[in-house]
Amino acid sequence: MYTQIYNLIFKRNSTFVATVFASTFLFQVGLDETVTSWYEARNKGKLWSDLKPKILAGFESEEDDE
Amino acid sequence: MISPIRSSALRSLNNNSKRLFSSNLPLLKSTYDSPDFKHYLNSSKGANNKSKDFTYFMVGSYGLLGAAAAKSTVEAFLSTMSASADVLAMAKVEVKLNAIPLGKNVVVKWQGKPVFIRHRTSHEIDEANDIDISTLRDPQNDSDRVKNPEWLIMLGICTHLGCVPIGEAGDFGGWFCPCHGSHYDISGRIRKGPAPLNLEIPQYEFADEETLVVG
Amino acid sequence: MAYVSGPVLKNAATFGGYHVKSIISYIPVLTIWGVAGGAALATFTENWPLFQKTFYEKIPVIGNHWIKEVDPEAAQS
Repeated sequence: MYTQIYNLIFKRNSTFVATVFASTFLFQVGLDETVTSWYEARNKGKLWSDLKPKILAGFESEEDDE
Repeated sequence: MISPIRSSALRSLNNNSKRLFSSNLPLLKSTYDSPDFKHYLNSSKGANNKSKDFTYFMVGSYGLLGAAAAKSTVEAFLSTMSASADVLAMAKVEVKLNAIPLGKNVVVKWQGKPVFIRHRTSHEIDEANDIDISTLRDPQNDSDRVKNPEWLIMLGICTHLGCVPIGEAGDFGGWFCPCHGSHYDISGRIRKGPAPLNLEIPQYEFADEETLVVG
Repeated sequence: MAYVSGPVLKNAATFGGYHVKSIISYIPVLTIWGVAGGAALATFTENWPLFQKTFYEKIPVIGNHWIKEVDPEAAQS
């Protein structure tokens, strides 16, 4: 198992560097997705996507009062 | 444990490798006794590549973080070279119209302001023309507001206090400003609510059949 | 009587000053280096709209990451 990993990735510098950059690419995506979902979970109810239906409904009902 | 180096060294050579190095040849020829440290050595060392894997994994992880940081730094530097606000203020915006289906709104940003583009259906064009403009607050014919009746292009800024109206909403099938409840019709004319004027029409032209240039 | 005056030497085929056989032997590792370079390029162009539209949006599973649908009303004000 460890030897397999070693032979596959770490033995050659080319595979090592390729793995590092490929993981960096995926890491950037993962970090961005994680932070975004954390931010959206933390600000749930304050985001425009949450407010939009409320605002639209709210103004239409106020329209009737005026 | 003290043993003649010759035998122990040879034994260990037989156990581990058969290679002779110039550096251990004098030792093999030596008749001096020297201690055998074999029993003090970690016998599991080299049994598998666990610790090597771990070490290289840590090295690679630093490489990963370093590459991500370097990329972000380069990006930050490059973003300082992007067009500054005064250049963008003079810019024109090109829009490919064939991407906008019939009866759909598209909002593009032009000089920092939203520009509404609507591909109007023939029914909507009739609706826009079918109004006695003397009843309007800001009387304007639909034909004065469009170059090609299929395409309505206007600044998406409410003439009341500058909010951005919402498309396909309001009592007149056009735009609705959520801030103070101004309703605009399908030609962008003010019909109801506090706004005093129709939505502004920016300068634009059709470069060709399918390309709109705003500005 | 034919005498052999020396070994028969022959030059190995070369390409651009390198032996063809050694070039061939380098192909696998150079291919992996090419993949590494491509990954590095992808890392550094990850936020470049042209690359996002052309390549990254089309990656399966994670392609959605680059497709951002900003609500037009939320972009302003």
